[in-house]
Amino acid sequence: MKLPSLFKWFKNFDQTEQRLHETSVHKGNASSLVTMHDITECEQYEQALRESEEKYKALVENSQDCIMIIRDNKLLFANHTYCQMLGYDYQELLNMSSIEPIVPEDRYKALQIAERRKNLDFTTIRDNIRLFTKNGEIRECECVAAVIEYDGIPASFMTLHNVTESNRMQEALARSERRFRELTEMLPQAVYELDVNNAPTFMNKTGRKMFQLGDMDFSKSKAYDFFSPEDTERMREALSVEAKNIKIEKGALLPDYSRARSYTAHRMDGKTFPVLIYGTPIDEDCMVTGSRGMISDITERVGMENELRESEEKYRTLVDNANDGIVLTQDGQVKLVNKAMCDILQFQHEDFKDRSFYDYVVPEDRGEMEEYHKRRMKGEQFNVLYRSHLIRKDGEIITVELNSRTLSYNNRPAAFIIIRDITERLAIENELKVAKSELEILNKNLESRVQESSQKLAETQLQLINLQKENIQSQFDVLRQQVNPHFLFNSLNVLTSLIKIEPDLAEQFSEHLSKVYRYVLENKDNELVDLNTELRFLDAYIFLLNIRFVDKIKVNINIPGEKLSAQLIPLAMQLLIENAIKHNIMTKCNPLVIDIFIDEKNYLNIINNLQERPSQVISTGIGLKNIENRYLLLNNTRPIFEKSETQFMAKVPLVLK
Amino acid sequence: MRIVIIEDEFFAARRLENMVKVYDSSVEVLTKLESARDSINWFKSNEQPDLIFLDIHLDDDLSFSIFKEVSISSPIVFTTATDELATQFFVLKGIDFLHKPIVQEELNAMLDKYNHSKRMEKPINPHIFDDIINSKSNS
Repeated sequence: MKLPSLFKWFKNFDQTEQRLHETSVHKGNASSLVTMHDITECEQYEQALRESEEKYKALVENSQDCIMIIRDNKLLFANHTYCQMLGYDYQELLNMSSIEPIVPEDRYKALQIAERRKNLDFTTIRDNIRLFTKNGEIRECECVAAVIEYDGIPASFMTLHNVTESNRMQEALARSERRFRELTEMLPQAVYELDVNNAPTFMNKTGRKMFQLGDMDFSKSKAYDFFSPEDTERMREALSVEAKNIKIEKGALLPDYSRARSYTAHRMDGKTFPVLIYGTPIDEDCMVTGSRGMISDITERVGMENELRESEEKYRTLVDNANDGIVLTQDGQVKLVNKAMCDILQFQHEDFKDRSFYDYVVPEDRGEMEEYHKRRMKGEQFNVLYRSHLIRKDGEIITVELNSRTLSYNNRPAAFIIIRDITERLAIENELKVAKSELEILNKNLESRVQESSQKLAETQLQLINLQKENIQSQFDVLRQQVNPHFLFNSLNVLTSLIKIEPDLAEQFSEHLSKVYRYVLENKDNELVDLNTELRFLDAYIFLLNIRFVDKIKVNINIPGEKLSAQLIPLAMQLLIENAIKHNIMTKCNPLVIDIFIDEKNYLNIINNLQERPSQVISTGIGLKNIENRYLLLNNTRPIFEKSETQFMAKVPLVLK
Repeated sequence: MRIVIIEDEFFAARRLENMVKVYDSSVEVLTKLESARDSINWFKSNEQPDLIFLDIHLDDDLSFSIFKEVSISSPIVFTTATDELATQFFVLKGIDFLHKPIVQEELNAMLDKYNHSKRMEKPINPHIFDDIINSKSNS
């Protein structure tokens, strides 16, 4: 019973072909009527059948799946969904082979189904099959082929479920997943997933490498096993907070978990390294199923940060400990100031807060500074070194040297000023200048003194040379004097005069003359002679003088006996007397008086009254110099020669035994 | 013949006087002077003699200084013992001089020369000896 009614139902199904429908119904009715006895019952049944048919018809037409009936590769029936899926109208589909829309590679499947049905194999067959739409697109369908009796003959009843879209979506999903997977694997950060019990469920390659996990199965571990024990509690808390916070409604924004937490990670080999973890809960349909995140090894960054911090520390120390004051000003405001600067101006650090730097500059100097500031504001970059005057807290004005340069501070131009208090330096410089000029004067004095000394030295040397020369000369002179024709002639003259007039006197004269000459001969080579010997010679000499210059000369000798052993150079007294005679007028009225004695300083004094002759025949230049030189050579003592208005005084050094 | 002897050494002057007498006892020695000052004074108040024996070195100065004070027109014979410079000068200028100690023959010749000669036409130039004088005032 069931089967024929189904046939009827299927026959009435087609709404597009009304004529066919009427025909089939009529035929169906006819066949039914043949077997029915109770008409009323039969009519009621028919009514029920019609209603049921209507119901199924609607179901078939409204089915999301394609439904068709095929026999011998000929489409007997197809619903609207099938027409829509392939883009053909119903008539077109009826006119073509049922194989035709199927892609060639899948046609054998359709043929196989047909073959099996011929061989009375009526099992339901499930398979995937692809069809071309009218405009050539491929539709993938899940196909279920059953067998029904259609018009009394078995036919294939097929439903096609279009899976093209879902396949595409699945593929896209797979691709997307692959993409993310690959990306995840490629990431330089470790990427992890934890389940709700904080057990790791996934770790990317970088992570495995970072923690040296290799192919280890870590699913039995807990997340904190891979971190320093000190971090466990903190991490547990963080993970639970992450989990708690996720009681959220669908579509609501997740709280911001991008804030990183830093932990110390443990590698399998025991080494530790600093990491940053960015974690977020895994939300599946408003349920937290775990958490996932990213771990960055920040060893390098920490190193760099440390370096940076150290470098910053270094610079800060430098700035703080700099001997020069350092000020950073922006818009005229003091932004930074170091200790030295505080010391220079005697202010405290906080005194500079929100103050203009100009407040510390004497008004006369502000102009220059403002000029630099303006240029700086115009974007000019420059360094400048100039002098200025600042006012200290105690009101004292100090001179400073400013080295100002432009730099960027908080992305805006600022003036970085190095300040050096040069007040002291200037004072020192001044002192130095004074000292220098003093030194120069001293130097000049010294130079002139050196010059003087060297001149003196040169003079002394010259003197010495002259002395040596003069010594030779004087020795020669003394020698010459022994046979000096001057003295001899004069003496001979006197003797000649005496011989006839005063023969006795002449005899005495010649005796004394011979004494004088003997003495000269005997002592010509001696440097020193006893005063006693010299005085005996002098007696003889004076005897000769008294005869030559009768009453015109008077020699007074007063030497105490105890001094007679003293020594002096030979012929000194004779020379001095001769000198006195040569230079002085000597008349009977005004005789030449010569006094010879020893003074308290043991100098032998030979003093004569001064009555100088106005002129004389040019002298040979022997005389006082001779005596002087002989003493200088002897023992570097000096005879003293003094001339006053009334007398000429010669003091000859005595050498005491 | 009247002569004047100017000589600072006493015995030398006496000897010259004796020697002149030996030459000719009639020669009159008007005076014997020892200093320039005395000589000047003498010439200022006496006539010029026929001949003067003049020693260069006198008690108080060189004899040349006399010429600057008084004009001398008598012929002069200089006497000198050792003044070489002066002797050279005398030879150069043709001035008569005698070396001391004076030798009788030389004196005789000199006296012969001037015994009958007339006085000099011009007085002696007081400056001709300047070159050989080392004047105190200049030095």
